[in-house]
Amino acid sequence: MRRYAVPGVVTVVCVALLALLIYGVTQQGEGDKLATALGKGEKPVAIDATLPRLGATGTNSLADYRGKVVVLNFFASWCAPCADEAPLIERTQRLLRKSGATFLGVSWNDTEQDSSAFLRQHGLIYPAIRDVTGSYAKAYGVKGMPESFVIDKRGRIVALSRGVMDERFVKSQIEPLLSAPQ
Amino acid sequence: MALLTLLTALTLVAIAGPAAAAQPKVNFYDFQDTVMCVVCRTSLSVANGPQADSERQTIRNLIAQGRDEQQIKDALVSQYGDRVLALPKDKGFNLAVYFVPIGVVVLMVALLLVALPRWRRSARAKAAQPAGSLGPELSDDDARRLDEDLARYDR
Repeated sequence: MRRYAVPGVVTVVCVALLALLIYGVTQQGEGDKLATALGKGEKPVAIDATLPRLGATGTNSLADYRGKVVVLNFFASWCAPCADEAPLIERTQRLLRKSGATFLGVSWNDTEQDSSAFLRQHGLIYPAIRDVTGSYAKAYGVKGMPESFVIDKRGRIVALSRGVMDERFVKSQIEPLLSAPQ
Repeated sequence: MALLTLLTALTLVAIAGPAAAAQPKVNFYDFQDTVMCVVCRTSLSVANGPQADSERQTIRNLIAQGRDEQQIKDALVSQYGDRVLALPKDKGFNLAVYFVPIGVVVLMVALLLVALPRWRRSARAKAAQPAGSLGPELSDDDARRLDEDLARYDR
């Protein structure tokens, strides 16, 4: 019995490591799952959370915009590509407001003071929330910034942009939703 | 004369005031070891990148305000969450960080206490064997088979 103990323990450890490896390889991040689902033409339900508002008291969540098109935009003041994207967001936000839609900024890995200053500096007037713990970004599988998720009037994710958004993305993924029925 | 006294008093207040209000209580370089860069997930002291720079600037500002170490940590946690701390708070599941290493050391010591006497017994037994010993004696059966094999090669 004793002579089987060491090979037995070694086998169990090897099997456990192998299982962990297989789990790691097969397990996709939430972002990859979303991208895969969107690629298949699915429209996953947007994950909601109630988070503190940026530069104001109280909280905000997607539920507050029920029935409206929302573009969730993860950003930080130190993120240079976010600054590059800001002028397009500012122009698009004016367009969205006319249709009752909006950007909802999510400040992540940043201080409240710096994020607020970033919005002021770039003339961004959309509502924003703070993801202090990073759990909301994790739920969306956000890995870099900026990342944007387009949510339709029924609260489903219909498109995502990893990296800086461009005019083509706005025209092809956001603008058609504004005139679409609920 | 009264004007001169007033000017002197104002000058003294202007010099002494800011110095007393913003006396640094924390060494910036030592403090960096106690917090993480939340994007690169390494100690801030070795982290590079825009987020790390932004975090360092926040810490410098807090130090310049005369805050102590705990106040600065609390301020950072309010902005970045618990993950900014290099050592997690000692409560709940986080306690594993402190107890698991101790448990591993205790386990290793226990294994050594069991294994060392065995290794020593085994080493003594080997040393006690006469030099040139070829191991245990062959059984009659094995000896007979060996003889048969050798005889076959001799033919």
